[in-house]
Amino acid sequence: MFFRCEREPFLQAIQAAQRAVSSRTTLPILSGLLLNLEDGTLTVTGTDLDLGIETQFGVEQKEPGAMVLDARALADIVRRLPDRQVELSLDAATHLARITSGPAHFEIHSLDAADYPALPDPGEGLQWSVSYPVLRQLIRFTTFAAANDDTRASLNGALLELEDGEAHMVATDSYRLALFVQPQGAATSVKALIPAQTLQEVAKLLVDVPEAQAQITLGKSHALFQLGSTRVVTRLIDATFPNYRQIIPASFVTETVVDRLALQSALERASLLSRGGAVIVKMEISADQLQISASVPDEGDYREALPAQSTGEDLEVAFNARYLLDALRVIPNAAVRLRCTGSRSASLLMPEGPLAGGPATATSPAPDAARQQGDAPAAPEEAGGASAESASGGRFVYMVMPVMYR
Amino acid sequence: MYSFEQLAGQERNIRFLRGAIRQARWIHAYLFLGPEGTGKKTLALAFAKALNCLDQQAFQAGQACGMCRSCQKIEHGNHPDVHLFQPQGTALRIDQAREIRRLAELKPYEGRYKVFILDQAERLTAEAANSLLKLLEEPPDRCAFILLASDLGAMLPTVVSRCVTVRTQPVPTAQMEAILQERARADGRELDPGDVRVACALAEGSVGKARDLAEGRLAGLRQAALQFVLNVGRWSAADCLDFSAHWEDKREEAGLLIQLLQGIYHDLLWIKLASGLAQGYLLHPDQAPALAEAARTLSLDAILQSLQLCRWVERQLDRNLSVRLALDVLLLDLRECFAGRDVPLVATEYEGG
Repeated sequence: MFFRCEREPFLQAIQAAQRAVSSRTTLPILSGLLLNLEDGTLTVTGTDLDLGIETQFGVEQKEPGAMVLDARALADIVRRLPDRQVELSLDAATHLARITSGPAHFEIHSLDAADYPALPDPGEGLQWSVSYPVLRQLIRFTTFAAANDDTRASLNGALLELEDGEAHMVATDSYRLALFVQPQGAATSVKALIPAQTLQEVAKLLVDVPEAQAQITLGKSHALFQLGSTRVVTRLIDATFPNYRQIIPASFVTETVVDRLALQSALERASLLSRGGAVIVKMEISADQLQISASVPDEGDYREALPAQSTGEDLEVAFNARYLLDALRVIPNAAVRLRCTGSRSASLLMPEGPLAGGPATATSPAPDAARQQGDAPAAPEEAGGASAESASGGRFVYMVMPVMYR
Repeated sequence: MYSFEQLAGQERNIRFLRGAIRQARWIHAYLFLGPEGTGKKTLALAFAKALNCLDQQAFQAGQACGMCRSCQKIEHGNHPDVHLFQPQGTALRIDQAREIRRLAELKPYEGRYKVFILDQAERLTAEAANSLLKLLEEPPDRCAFILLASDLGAMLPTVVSRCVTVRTQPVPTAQMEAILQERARADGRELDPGDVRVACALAEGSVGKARDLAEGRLAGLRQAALQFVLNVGRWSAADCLDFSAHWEDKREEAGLLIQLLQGIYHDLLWIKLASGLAQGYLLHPDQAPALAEAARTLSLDAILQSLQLCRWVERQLDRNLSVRLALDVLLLDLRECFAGRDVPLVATEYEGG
């Protein structure tokens, strides 16, 4: 194996594939990246057996071949090479890989490429083509709500449902649930429970190319995301996701509209009462104000009143501040609507009006949202150019369970 | 590279496991029980290879070809379906048990069966062991568990009762000698029978260890030890210290040397006590005439005292005493013993206290 290439694309490929390499693996070979050179194309592969990432780019091939190099060592070396050109060769007899760039010369040990596990083939499955911004939205608005423990496999993933021309993505940890509905689904109907961590890695690989399309193949036990020259293969979670449709309430006793940024910063202030721990905030909703208070034993008390426009009964309800903040941080709109069914049953938090463009791709708030909120200043992070996301017409619903207030 | 064929001294177990695979009647949970170094892990890996061997013919015969990708990956510890769990620190912990449960629920990545090998299973914490009970009782499809343990008493009876126990025995010394010689002949090499005999005696029933010794550094060490005991009567104190200097910072080899010295003094004891009858019991029969000569000049007391000295210094080495210092003291004291002078045994005083 022998090739020459530019350092930058090589480093990018290594860093992409490295996302799938787990730091704590029991198989030595999985701490490495597979470099496979064929027909002038170098394929860099990383996997932890649950998730595999494979990315390709063209190189000046002198001799085809394959080898496995330690992922972290390779990334560190290539990042610090002095020259823009990199030359890499493998001595088949000694299993030493030689990396040369300008005056610098490395020889590092390689592992046997034949030991590297092949990425699974998702097989025949439903194909869905979706634009990068839309896919990123689906992921960003839902995966944060997934559980992060090994005991409840079905809650560690986000459910992707394609049905009736709509795409639904939903995740829950049983205390809160995030649902994003995208009107540009596929015609057929299919369900797949995808590990949330995988989706977050996919989102990181979705570089800003508005017109780019991701090709998603949903197989029986695996899913494939084709993102340009990068392939992400993930195991699907083999468990039943709770039936979320019937638990989302449809009628409410109290509804209030409040400035999103004001609410977010108020809850962040309340969270200061406890270092790291969860703070329970009590919300007293009345016709024109939202009174927020928190009390942490041995630490102190907090209270703040925000202007709000409410309908329905006055209500006292308490939440874990972190759960509300998680959702407020992804909602781009200037105002949010909180719809409560009572102090002991689920509430919904949603953007007021159609979903504005995401803060990540910076856009001005949607006109409807701004109109609802008379005194709300435009959020600074939302100022800036327009994005394709504002036109996507997605719908975000966040359901959160109240807690007992002590 | 081990497959069933190459696992010496385990014929019974191999017959049993191969038969089980051949008739597709193998059990999902085995407990391999036997002293350290008797090939439990090797047997478990050979079983994993046989279950996953890509060579259809070999698989149907309950064997592993040792050549296919699957066998190679298992050999290198890189098979995605063969998981070896070893104690983290002192115990196999609940986190590891959770990982096992998670992995067991998944389909095999590329092999026929997932094989979970739990090394030193007696070190499962009670929590971890209990959390595995359900899995051991009703494992998911295409799963095999192999627990390796040397201490049955330290295991939960609920775990043991869910496994089929396979006992591994230390291989008898005589059989080990035959195996080693046979393998050397197969490779077209000749091993010194004296070295092989000593290697097998020191290997505590493990063929692998005996082979490493016989083919490695043992030969040189045995000659050195013999040279010392047979000649120390003519050596000066400075000779002894020069000799000792060879093993500076070579703790493992120094330990072996002391074991070898003990073996030689043991032979001297046999000759002293049983004279002509001793021949069959000697560790170094090839040196019998020279040893007999040495035994004549030594008193019974001197031999016994030398043995005691060796044992004491051996224990001190385990306690991290400087290798050079320990050997200096031992060799000088042995020289004194040989000269018939009484060496006060510091050992007994310390040991008693």
